[in-house]
Amino acid sequence: MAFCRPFVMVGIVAFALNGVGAQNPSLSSSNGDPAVFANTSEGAAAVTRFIDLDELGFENGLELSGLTGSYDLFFRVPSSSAIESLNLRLPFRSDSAFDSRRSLTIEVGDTPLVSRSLPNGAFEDVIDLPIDPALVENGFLKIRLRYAGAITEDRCIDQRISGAFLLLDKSGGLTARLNGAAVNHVNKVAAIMPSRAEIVLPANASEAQAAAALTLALSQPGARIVNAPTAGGSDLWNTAKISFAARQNAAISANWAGGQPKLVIGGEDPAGAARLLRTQWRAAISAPAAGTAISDRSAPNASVTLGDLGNDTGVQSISERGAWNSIIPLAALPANVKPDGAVIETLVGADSGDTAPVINVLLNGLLLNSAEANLDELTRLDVDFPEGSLASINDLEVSVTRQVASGDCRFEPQGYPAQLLPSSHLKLGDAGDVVDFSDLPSRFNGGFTVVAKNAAQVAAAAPLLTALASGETKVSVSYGDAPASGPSVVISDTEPVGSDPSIRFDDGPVELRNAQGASMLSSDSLGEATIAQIVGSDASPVLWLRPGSNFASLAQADPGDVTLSYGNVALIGSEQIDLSFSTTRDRLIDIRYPETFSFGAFLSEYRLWFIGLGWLLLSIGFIYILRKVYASRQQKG
Amino acid sequence: MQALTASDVWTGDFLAETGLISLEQLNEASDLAVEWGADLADVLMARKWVGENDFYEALALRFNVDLLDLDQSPPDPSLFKEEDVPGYMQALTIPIRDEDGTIVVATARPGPEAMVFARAKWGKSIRLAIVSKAGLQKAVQDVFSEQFSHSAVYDLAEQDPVMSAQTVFTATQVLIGWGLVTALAIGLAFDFVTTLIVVNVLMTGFYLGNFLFKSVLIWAGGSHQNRREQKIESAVRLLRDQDLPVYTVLVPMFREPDVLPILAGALRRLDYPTSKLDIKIVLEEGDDETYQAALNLGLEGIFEIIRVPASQPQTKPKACNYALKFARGEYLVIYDAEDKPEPDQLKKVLVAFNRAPSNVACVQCRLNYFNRDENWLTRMFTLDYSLWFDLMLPGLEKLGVPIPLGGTSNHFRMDVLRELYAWDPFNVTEDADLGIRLIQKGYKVRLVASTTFEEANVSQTNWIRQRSRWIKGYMQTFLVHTRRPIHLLKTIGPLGALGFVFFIGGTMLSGLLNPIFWGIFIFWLLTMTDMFDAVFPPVLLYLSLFNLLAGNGMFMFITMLAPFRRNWLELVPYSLTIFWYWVLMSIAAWKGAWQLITKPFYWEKTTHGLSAQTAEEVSKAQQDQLSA
Repeated sequence: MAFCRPFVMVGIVAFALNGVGAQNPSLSSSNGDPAVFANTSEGAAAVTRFIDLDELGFENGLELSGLTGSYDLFFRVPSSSAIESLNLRLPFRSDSAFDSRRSLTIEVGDTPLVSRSLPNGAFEDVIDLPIDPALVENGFLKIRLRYAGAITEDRCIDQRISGAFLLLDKSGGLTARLNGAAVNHVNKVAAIMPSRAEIVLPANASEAQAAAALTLALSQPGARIVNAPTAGGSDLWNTAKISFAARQNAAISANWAGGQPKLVIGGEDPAGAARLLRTQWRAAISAPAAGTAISDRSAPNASVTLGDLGNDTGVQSISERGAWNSIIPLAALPANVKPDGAVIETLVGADSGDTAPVINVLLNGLLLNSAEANLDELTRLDVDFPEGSLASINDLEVSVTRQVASGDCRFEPQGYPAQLLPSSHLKLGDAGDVVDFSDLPSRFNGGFTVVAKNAAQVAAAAPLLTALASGETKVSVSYGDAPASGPSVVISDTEPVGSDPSIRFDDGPVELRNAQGASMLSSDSLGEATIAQIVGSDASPVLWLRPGSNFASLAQADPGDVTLSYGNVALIGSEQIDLSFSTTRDRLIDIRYPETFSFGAFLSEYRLWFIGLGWLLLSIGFIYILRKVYASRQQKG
Repeated sequence: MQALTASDVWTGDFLAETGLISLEQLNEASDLAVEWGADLADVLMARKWVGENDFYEALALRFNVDLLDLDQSPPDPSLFKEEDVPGYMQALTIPIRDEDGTIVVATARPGPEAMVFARAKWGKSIRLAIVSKAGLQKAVQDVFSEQFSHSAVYDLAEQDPVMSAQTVFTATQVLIGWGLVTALAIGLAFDFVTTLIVVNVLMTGFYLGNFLFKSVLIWAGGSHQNRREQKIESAVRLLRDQDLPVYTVLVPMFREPDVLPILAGALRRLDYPTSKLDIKIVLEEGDDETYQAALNLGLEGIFEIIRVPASQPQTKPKACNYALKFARGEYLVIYDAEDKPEPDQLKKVLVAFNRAPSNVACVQCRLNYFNRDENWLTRMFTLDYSLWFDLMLPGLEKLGVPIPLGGTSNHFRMDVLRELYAWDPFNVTEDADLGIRLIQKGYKVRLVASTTFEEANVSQTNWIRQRSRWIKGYMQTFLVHTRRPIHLLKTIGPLGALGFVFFIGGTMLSGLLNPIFWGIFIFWLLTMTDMFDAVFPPVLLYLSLFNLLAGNGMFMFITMLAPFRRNWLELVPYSLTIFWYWVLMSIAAWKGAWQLITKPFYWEKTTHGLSAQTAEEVSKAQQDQLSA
């Protein structure tokens, strides 16, 4: 199973958790006035909601490899009374290197519903399965996929070499036909709405509305801020729509437009409403513990468990290797802290092998620790994160590798349980200096201001900021002056007042050269690219975004492709980061101002000439000495 | 204390009888002659109680022989033999001419000793004549002047050219140097940063090695000295004067008339029978002021004055080589003019030689300063010397690493010294060079805990002149002995070669490199620039930082340790100011490097007598001289 997009992981676990109510009473009471919630009009039309595997977080589909495996999928749907019909459609592809007997069984609500044999060799098919809405329990439809098989009855073959797999395509998912009663309230709309969202921010949006839009965008990586909604008209509800209304409107209301429900944010404090909605939304789709960890900002040195961050720490049946990939977005941590390390606790069941299972811990692909598992008690690994190993969004992988007995003509292969315990947690320490983009979340988490010319610039910057701040953060937008202090994002053609950026545009043409002195990017190319730089001080860091010609198109970029993490300077294309580097560490890139004289640049420009001249002078010196040596010899002779 | 010789007894009686001196003067002169171990005639003339002409005329009259003026009738050079020169000077008797088979022999000391010498050399058919002592010595030097002068300059260069610094750089060395420069230039051209990192790694490695090596030396040097010192002191008390060999003391001087009284006083205080001392004051021929001052002090009667003919290079080793031809001792020591050796030094050295294996050819005594409290520089110089002689050199000795000999107070076995063609006149640290040559020829050097006190430089410009010569000499020595690296490795062993590289090469190279690293550090400190970051990848940065902090801190610390041995605790705080001393050292190193190219054999003269304490010493010595 591959998790390439870390932020979707929250979604996966969110759907995997039971028992989350539709409304968090504490949050609702904190806001106080229930009048802010406007109900949808009664008798709204039915709508079709399609929840695909991609939305559940399986960006590349769901893969079950080898000859055994199972996976539980939880689809959030309203109660059965609001459902007119459910249909599960799973396109899949399978293959095996050897002849084998394999099957896929689908259980719904712990009841086997269908079983398919998987023939040898490459095979593609689609499971199309109507499901009785009565199988929905507690607002979730639980689908269990059981994949099993064997090569032959021959126990002398190690079946791990089967090379078999089953891949469920990411386009598969559950289609729910919902009647109007399912989406007749803000909470219900927020709970069931798709993670892909359009936040419609008009061009003349106020600073508060822009801040609200940005708050929503930071809350939901699948959300985009647009100037106008895309055309609806279909009853297939796969993109949520959130728009803004005048301040005299309710803070949050829900209504129908184009045959689909939508949310409208108004009131005096749209940003506050957005944060509230964000909380409401999360109350419906994420773990309560995550809300606790992130909202507990008064204890910056407290630890945060991997479960708090919404990571899967469930039991896995492992016959060879199993892994838990925990995503650690730094934006999800309290302000002014940074993880120094982690305490990993695992329980690994005994197996039939002669050697103890091995636990490996990796951070962003960097091996941090490796140890044999204790079989009779939990195994605790205390790891420190090396300096510079953290990114804005981190992948902490804990894997268990077993050497179970199989293929020895006695045992059939089978998996044995292991679990990454939810008590595994991060060790939080001081945030340190702001050196890389990945150091910004620790500052932005305490609130920050976006200084832009207009709402469109805020919309374009939103995908860049998704990895740097969460929807819990208090965001302000200013169309005028930058704040005197505090973290900020400044979107402007000129550098923020009083800053000393690494790439300046007020010293004439600027270009990037490689270590050999060859030009990598000319001044024109640099002018076209959007450039992000860290400027300002550690206490008041500023992310300066100098819009390029492609800046507006960034509003539609996938946040995962424009994650600012490494370095303090980034060149951003229309859809991805083209280049990011650190001016304090990297030596392969040189920033040059061809028309500005500097002694260092002059030396570098004519380096070969200087070396040649030095060599020539020294060679003349050597010749002079050599001449003296021979003259002396002749004299003696 | 020896009694007067038979010649002196009757000479004294005769002079009193003829009325040239009074009986009181005779008695006093006799006492002084016994006390100083000098000839009675020398004492009388030194006291100016009898004129030189009167004295020699009286002698001629007494023996009824001719009084010759050798300027008027110079001796026949063909009668002189080079190997007899020490004998001529000791017996003050030389052949003048052959008159039909009868050899006319001139002497300045008529008496049984002269007769025995003359008969042994020229048979029974001889006829005596009287000459003045100064005239006789001058005549001998005139006869051999050209030959000895050439020999003093070229003996080593002609007999063992590969060991001579006459050739500063060999063609191979020049080509290797050019090859390295070319490789560096190519590296810089093709991969600037990597090349600089490689250079940085080499330099950092060198610094680290230098620091570790010197730390090991300090540790090794402080651990075994006391016991040996006690043994030597016990053995000194058992020595009998009659068993002592003749000891040559060379005192090369150049335009230092002021310190002559100190020298005379110090040499007289040596606890060694004067009759067995062959003290030679070595003066350049053009140095009339010092010569005249010596005459005024009457030193020519007590010490032999050797005047070195003018020739190039005009260096101290050349002068010593020249004087060596006239030396008659079994052992030899060099003192500077302002030196004040501890009185028992010669005996301690003799014991050390006696107790050492036969291949020990040199004994180095410690040097230190009598004017250490005069100013900051003298204090730092004292700390430097204490560290060098009290801790580092013993460390070298213990580890078997070649010891670069100090400028003075190094004592040699005469036969070995002559076998090695003595000092290299082209090397401006001839002593350090000789120390390495000794080891390469299979001999060893020992250290003895006897100190010679010198005058520390009180002037920074004067100090830089002196130190630049030393460092230039170290460069010469390094170049000479690395001409045959495999030979060096074979003769002094891997540890010795390593020590040689770090101790000789390290001392000069650190002086040259330090300003570069300091400049980088200060520039970085002021600008906080990141332009050097590429050349200092993390491991190298930490290593450089370790060298900068721990290395320099350690050097500072061991400098603090240096004065403990002598209980000069008041000098300890000055260790903290050693940075400026290093700065001076670097200035001197670059000056020395420049001179190596431009004036390799130029002898940067250190001016002595600048110290206020030296002035006091001179005054005191003059009073002693007068009262004596």
